[in-house]
Amino acid sequence: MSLTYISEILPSLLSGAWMTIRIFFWTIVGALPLGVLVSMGLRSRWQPVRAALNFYIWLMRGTPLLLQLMFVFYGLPDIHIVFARYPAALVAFIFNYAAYFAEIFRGGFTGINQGQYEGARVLGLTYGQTLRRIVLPQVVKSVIPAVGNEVINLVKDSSLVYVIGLGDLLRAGNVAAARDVTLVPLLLVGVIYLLLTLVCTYGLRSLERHYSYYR
Amino acid sequence: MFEMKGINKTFAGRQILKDFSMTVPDNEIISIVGPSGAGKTTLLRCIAGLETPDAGTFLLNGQAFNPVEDHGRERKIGVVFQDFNLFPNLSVEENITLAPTLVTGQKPVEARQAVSELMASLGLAQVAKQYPYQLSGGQKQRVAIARALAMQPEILCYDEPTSALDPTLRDTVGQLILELKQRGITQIVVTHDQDFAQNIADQVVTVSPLGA
Repeated sequence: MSLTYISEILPSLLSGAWMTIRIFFWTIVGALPLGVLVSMGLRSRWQPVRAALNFYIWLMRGTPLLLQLMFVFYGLPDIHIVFARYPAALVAFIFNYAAYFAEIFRGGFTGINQGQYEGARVLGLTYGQTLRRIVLPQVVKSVIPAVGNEVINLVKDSSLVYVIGLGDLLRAGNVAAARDVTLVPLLLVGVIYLLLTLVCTYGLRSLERHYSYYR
Repeated sequence: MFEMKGINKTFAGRQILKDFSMTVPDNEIISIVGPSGAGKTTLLRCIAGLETPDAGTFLLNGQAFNPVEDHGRERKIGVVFQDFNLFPNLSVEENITLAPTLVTGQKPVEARQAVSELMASLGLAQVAKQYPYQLSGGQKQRVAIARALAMQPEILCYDEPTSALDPTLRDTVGQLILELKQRGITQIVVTHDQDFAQNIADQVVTVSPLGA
């Protein structure tokens, strides 16, 4: 495992890692708010809204993400919805992860005592004020560990984009490994994934610490 | 003066309150006593606007009054819940100033000034920056009282104020309720504790379970 060889393949691995990071980042940015919205919709008083959202979650959690990626990129063009590779990946990842996040947030909302709503109501707060100042901060605190699990999963799930021909970290490693008949690139890929999840773990821990000022 | 007339409430086919009426004169303490299941808490929740009675009317100072519509800055009824329902994510001071800032629209600085005397009189000045989980039961209750009083309600209601506390604190709460009466606050106290009710109340109203 010569240093020269590592420095030769590192640029292509890092450019693959950059794709992984972009997919990771935009999925989080899109899926978290969408997940919160869906979880609130799951508590809607209109049954059709709840039924539609439950169907969506069932679909997203009930089929492989790999299949969903293929469907968005290869299947949707049949009904004249055409995405380029990168946007197709983002659409599939955001809708998939939002479903998981929605279920996590739903659990978080369920965990809030009814007394919190009543306490706010007898003080004259509106429902919106109650959500913003009382309920959501407590929900966010309670879901950090579960959301963290999904975030770590996402780092690795992003490798599925190879199926629609996007060059991510794992694919860059595969290409180098096949070309040079060595496992060194894959080893490096493992190390880079570990570094990425290390950063995520650290970020999640800091977030938990930030919210630890109350119980 | 607060009056309730002919209040009826049924839950799942079971009648909890039947033609309940009572009058609460200004500056008095009214205790509502009765065994558990008699409908005391339901009654309090109707007064607080958390339940809608099936029938009956409320009058506040002679005017028709609907507790369920008792919203916003004109809110008339304050409530101290049995387990206080403090907001765990907010400090003591934030718990107390939240409604004055959000509902009444005071600036945070003004709101803090406005409640500082109230907090000091309830012995909360030293714990202003602490969070509910750091407080004793008695302190939590005083935060709940201060939080309700900060909105200057016409009537302050308590649900079982002695039940979440150490027995030795029972008399302390009684003293506090009597002190608040001296400050001109009208109070309704729901309790299962007959002796406690007799000690503090100007008027004791007894409710009994229906058809049990």
